[in-house]
Amino acid sequence: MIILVCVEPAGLSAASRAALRVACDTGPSVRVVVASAGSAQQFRKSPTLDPPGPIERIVRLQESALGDANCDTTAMLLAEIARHVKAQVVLAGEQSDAEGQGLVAAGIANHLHAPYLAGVAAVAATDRPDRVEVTSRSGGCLCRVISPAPVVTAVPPLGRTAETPTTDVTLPKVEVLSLADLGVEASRLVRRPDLRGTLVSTPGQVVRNTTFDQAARLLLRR
Amino acid sequence: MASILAYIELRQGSITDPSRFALAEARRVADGAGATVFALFTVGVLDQSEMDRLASEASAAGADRVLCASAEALVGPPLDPTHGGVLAQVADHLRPLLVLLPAGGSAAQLGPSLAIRMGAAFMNSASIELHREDRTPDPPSWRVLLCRWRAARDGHRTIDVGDLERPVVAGLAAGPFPAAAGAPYAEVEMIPCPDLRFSSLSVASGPPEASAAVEACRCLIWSGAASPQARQALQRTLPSDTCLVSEAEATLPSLVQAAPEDVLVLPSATLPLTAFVPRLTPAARIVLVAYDRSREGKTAALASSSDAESDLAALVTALASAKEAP
Repeated sequence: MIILVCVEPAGLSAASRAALRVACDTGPSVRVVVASAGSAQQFRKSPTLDPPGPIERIVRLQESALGDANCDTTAMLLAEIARHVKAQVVLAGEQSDAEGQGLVAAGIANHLHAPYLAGVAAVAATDRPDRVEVTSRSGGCLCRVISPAPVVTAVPPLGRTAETPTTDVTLPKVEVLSLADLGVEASRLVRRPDLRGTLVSTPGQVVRNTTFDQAARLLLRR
Repeated sequence: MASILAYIELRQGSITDPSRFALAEARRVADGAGATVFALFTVGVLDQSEMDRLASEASAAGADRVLCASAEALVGPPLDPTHGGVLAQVADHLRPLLVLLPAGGSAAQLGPSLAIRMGAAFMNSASIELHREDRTPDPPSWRVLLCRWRAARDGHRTIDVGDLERPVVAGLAAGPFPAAAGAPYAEVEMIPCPDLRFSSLSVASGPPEASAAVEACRCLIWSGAASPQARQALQRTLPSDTCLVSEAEATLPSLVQAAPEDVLVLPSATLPLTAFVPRLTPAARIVLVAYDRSREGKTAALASSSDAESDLAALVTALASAKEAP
């Protein structure tokens, strides 16, 4: 089974680390490919990949026009990479550390015409190559989903203490892909309207102080 | 007239509290800006009396119209491959201005795909603000703003629904909802369930997780690690919509989906809250609880700021006093 883990070009988010962990926990028979898409400038800022287990390939789509790509374009290109590496499972973080909306994974599924599952805790091969088992958390319970491949999954971030400590892992050489390698015309990199909304700077979450007595009254009054 | 669609999640056959809040928020926006509120149920096969009971509750909670898709495939928890098709079909038919998804994980499961299918903006962990604009001599108008934190927590993203010219799909917090005030009954409009897009996909859902209540709670108490006895003593006295989470449970998967309206941080808590509860909305209130040394005297002075046992005991005592107070 080939698992593609999609990560951000400029540093791994907590959710991407969780996605890598899910991929690498799947077992020895799995081939893990890590992919990102961005501009050369974004990759220059990228820190060292710190994977929790073995990774067979690292591919990067490097295209100058991707510096300000929106999530739909990024999703389209990652979907093409998934086709290129013949992935049966695509894993991505449920939210980035910056905007945190989790649209890229759903966008990949849309471009691949594949099922999309969020809240994913584990993936596993089945006895059929065209089926994948995905464990997803929804509705307050764990669901075991047998899905046709490929399936696109989003993994929620782990709490900070659960991050994997740095380990010495030999990583494969990064394969740099171009749009031509994926058979993507540059004309498909059309910017869609940015729907993220206006950014308003704020001093931070409002925090107030109280005593235990006041806290108890607040709990009972609500 | 514009429409607002509120997705209703059921757990153990009951409407979840976050779903009631989503309906209340839809009603608040509709009353201000003028819109029709649709409640959407996606359920397994239910008998008519059960469906009438749910519709009655939804309409009393603020729905103008109640839609229901009922099929064997919808019996499990909300997942995009099974439930997303119904939402997309309803959205395509109604063209709602706003789709509101309740806290508890359904926004992450259903929201992104729905937004992509609708060409809509997506905001998870969002708050809704209504701003009145006086236009004398015309009647006042209302601006509907959706607001969320950037995940980096360095600012808010705000969408003015009227200006965007596109619909918005939003996941909300677990907030308060008023006592039922609307009409006690609305006719249920049954809608067809589209064929599953992935017919070979199968779902087997397990029993509810012990920590499931955390992702739907309205108030979360964040404390240092405490003994089971101290935790149980406090939990017996807490309101039903309040969950106690100690830092020993900081990596609970359900905590990632929690979007409480209030968070009480006890003195013994040391870990950064937002790293473990990332879905707090801009409207969420974080309250740092501290000992009132002037009033509580020796007992408080002995309590160490790192002693979770003392914190929980102090809150039990304070709750008991507050309940006895007139």
